[in-house]
Amino acid sequence: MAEQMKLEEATLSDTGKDDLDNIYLPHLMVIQEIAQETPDVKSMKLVFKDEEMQKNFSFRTGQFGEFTVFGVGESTFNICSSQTWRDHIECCFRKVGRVTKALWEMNEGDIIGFRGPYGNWYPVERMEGKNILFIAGGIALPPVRCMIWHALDLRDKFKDIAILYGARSVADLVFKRELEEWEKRDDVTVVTTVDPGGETPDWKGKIGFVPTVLKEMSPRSDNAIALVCGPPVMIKFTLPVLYGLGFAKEDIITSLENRMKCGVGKCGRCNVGNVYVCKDGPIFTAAQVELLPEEY
Amino acid sequence: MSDEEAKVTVQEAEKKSQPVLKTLRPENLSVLIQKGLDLGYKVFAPVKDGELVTFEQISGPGEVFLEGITTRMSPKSVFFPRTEKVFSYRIAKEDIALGDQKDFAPPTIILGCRPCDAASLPIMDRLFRWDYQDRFWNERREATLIVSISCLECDEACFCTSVGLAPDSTEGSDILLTLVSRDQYLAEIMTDKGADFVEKTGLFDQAGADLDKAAATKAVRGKLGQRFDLDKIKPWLDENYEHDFWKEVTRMCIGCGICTYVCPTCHCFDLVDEAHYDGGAKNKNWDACQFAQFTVHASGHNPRPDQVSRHRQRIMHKYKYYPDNLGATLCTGCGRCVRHCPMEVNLIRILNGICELSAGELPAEAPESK
Amino acid sequence: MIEQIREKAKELLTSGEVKVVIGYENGGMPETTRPVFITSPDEVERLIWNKHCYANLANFFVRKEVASLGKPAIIAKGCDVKAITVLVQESQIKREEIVILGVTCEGVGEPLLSKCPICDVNTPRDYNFLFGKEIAPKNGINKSADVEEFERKSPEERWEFWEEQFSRCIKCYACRQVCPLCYCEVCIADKNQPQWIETSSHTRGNVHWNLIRAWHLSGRCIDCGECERACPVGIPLSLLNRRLAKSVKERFGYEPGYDQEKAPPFTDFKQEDSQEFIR
Ligand SMILES: Cc1cc2nc3c(=O)[nH]c(=O)nc-3n(C[C@H](O)[C@H](O)[C@H](O)COP(=O)(O)OP(=O)(O)OC[C@H]3O[C@@H](n4cnc5c(N)ncnc54)[C@H](O)[C@@H]3O)c2cc1C
Ligand code: SF4
Ligand code: SF4
Ligand code: SF4
Ligand code: SF4
Ligand code: FES
Repeated sequence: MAEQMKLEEATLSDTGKDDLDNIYLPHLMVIQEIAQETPDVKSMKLVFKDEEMQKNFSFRTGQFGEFTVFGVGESTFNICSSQTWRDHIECCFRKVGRVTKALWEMNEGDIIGFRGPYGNWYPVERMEGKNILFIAGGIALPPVRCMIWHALDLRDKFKDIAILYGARSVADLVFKRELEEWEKRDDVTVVTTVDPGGETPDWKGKIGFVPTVLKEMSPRSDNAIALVCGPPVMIKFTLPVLYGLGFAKEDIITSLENRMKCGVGKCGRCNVGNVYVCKDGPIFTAAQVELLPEEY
Repeated sequence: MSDEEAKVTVQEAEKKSQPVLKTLRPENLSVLIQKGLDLGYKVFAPVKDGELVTFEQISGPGEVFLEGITTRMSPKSVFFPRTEKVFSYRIAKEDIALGDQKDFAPPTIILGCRPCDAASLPIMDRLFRWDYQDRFWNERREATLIVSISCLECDEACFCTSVGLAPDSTEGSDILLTLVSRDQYLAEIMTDKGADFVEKTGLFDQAGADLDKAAATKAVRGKLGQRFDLDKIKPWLDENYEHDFWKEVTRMCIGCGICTYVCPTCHCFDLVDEAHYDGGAKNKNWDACQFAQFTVHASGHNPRPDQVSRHRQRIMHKYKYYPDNLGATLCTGCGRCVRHCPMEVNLIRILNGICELSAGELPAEAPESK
Repeated sequence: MIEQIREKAKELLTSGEVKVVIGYENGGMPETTRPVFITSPDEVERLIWNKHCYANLANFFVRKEVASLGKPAIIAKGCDVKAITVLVQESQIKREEIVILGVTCEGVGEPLLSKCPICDVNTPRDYNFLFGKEIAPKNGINKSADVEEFERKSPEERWEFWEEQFSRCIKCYACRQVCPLCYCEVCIADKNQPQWIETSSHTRGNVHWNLIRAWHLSGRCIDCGECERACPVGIPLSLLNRRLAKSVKERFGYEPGYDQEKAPPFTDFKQEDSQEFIR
């Protein structure tokens, strides 16, 4: 009886339309697979509960979503899978606060809410035919990883691909399996590094901070685009190195992570200068970021 | 809908090419209110409770209080309540069922809106109709008739005339009433929605050609004067994100947020979950850039770490970012923030200071020496 | 009297004994004043003192925008000084690191604010320099007359009253921001792990907030009435504060802000404390 009442009260079980009138209403997604990446990072494969929705859903690499743990809250994560994958999406998150802690506790088969895709995406057309340098620090690999897979899936469209990924310690490296997979390929250069003191006895990668290792790597900047995501300090010290290597500000791309709520340009939270990061971003060139007040 | 189309506000979409002029006898205002109620509208009007005058839903014309200047809280809460459920969910077995909101936009009248408050609505339409559509705001806007009354009084905090409005401006009103003589309101009927209602009530008479709204509001216009020069504000803001002025004028601000909560044009919100044992809801709650927690990242990093940067955001957003993005100043000069700030931070003073700085003069209160 | 205050402010700033004088200047609206932070001896003329000097400037000690200016002198009424005393007791400031320019006060506001007729600190109880003619403390005032009056109502009537009042609260938290004793870096209302106070501004969430706020100030609130003055929707917060103050006085014989040496009841356990609430 109680069961029946509940289902009657719930007027909307079919969320399989993307043109929902209510922009705050999420779609339901099932957690298909969970992988623990580091002591405090997990990644999840998600599929829409509604198969039709899954079939019709499309997004562009680099966009983000608003993920709801019902009764707890909503968090903003990058969709860290590539637009070339159609059977599921992925997200990867660090356990830091209320929502991410609750999400951490969830199991395969559980249901979460998803609103999106929101925001802009990587300028793929502009990147095609170019050498691509991916630089990521710590938990910021996911927003880069989606584009790495995008480029690898459509490998012919891009020229040289190099990946520089650094984390505090070996334990903090996310997507280790994939790093190994990429390392085995001969059409990608992969350099991994950990901060001094973060290495293990059998660590085979580099030891040193990302900017230092980047200098050593000394990648060519002609016909190249660099994609950089990481903690603010890393970005701060990496940009000058890139400039030194001859990268133009327009050819350096990053993703901002301002606090967001609505994701759709309404709630005002992500407003920085004349942009709404959720609407005009999160992806900006270094040249665009330079024009913003330093409120990110 | 494209951004350009979205910038067409609810009023503009329905606006008559030429306002229709009629008259209403003051004693018929109560009859009008009763008619509205009888026709099944929800009616919101200023109501006095002790010292406090706010917009509330009324059940009879006797409750309405039309004296005084603006109400304490603005009528924005009719469209954007301080807390509102945007969907609910139930946990049933292994499943979750979502419940959308329904019937949240019944036919409504806001009566006794001041022109500054009415003007705030089309300004905010631009945001809520921009790109993604906020149906909670938009559908209520479409279902609501705004009957405003021109101001014949003002106080020192009012500054509508300094932001391009006036005590008798029609922006945002479906019907604007101006008391042009002791026994006559001039009714300017601005939209089809307004005309429909006028028709239904049968209380309005043809207006003679001799009715002069400007004469009726001349005195108050004179008193309002021009408190600062709007044209100087944005050019200065464009150039002076970094300026010691910000520190000097905002040091007494304690970040209480009153200025944003009483403001008819502030629209920032939070989305929070509220759980019960087998279900819950997502609520859309007022929030504001004046609060320290507003922008804090989960890491603890705060991009706007002090009250100076938070207050600057308020001014920048209202007088630069919003105009740049959405083509309108996010302020109607209602004066509420000036009136109710416990520390008398005073927006008029700040804007005046900016005018003086842009004229190359020192602000009236010389900045403290280093 | 303002002349003497300006004189003293100038002297303190010139000698470098203090770096900033926190006082009042004329506001832009009639009958208003604004907190002002004078850092140069040339600017002391901006300082004023009148019936509209409402703000409890002790609020600014803990604000980094002001603390960063250096050692302060502060213009303080008797009630404001009580807040300073509590801040010192609670180790938020060191008494020797501030200079109190006490002013005697016959009440602020026209009509007087509700705290003024029941004030017994017209002459501040602590100061470095005193301005104005000393005013002897009034005798035999009943500080909880309004509470007693209110308590004559039935519990149902009282609940109805408060429910009505709190239903209006818009959760701006101005009552907290304006309070000199609400100095927590992260307020319990802003904590979400766990979530102590519902963030939504419906009556339940509002009651939640208002009761917790009052409770956190019990035995600490010095009745400067700033919360009530600031509240944009006119909730009589002082009535609630005085109700708790009455209990604290009855049970522990304690009134906050009067004596720096006397330990506040909630930081001090005594064997003979009334225990009858533990049943
Ligand atoms: C574009 C973008 C992409 C991002 N991508 C990633 C990513 O891929 N991976 C990643 O790990 N991080 C990402 N982040 C950062 C991520 O959004 C935050 O780290 C995360 O949202 C914070 O975690 P939390 O929600 O657990 O934190 P908290 O701050 O503890 O919780 C915030 C949430 O809890 C709820 N809440 C907060 N306060 C209250 C309250 N008082 N009452 C009720 N509810 C409350 C709200 O719903 C709120 O959304 C991204 C951010 C942005 C802007
Ligand atoms: S300006 Fe005034 S009302 Fe606004 S946050 Fe600051 S102190 Fe509060
Ligand atoms: S900023 Fe102040 S004057 Fe302008 S609309 Fe808001 S409350 Fe009114
Ligand atoms: S950012 Fe601040 S000033 Fe702008 S709408 Fe939001 S609360 Fe108001
Ligand atoms: S100041 Fe008033 S409205 Fe604001 S939170 Fe406090 S009680 Fe509520
Ligand atoms: S997240 Fe709400 S406006 Fe950007």
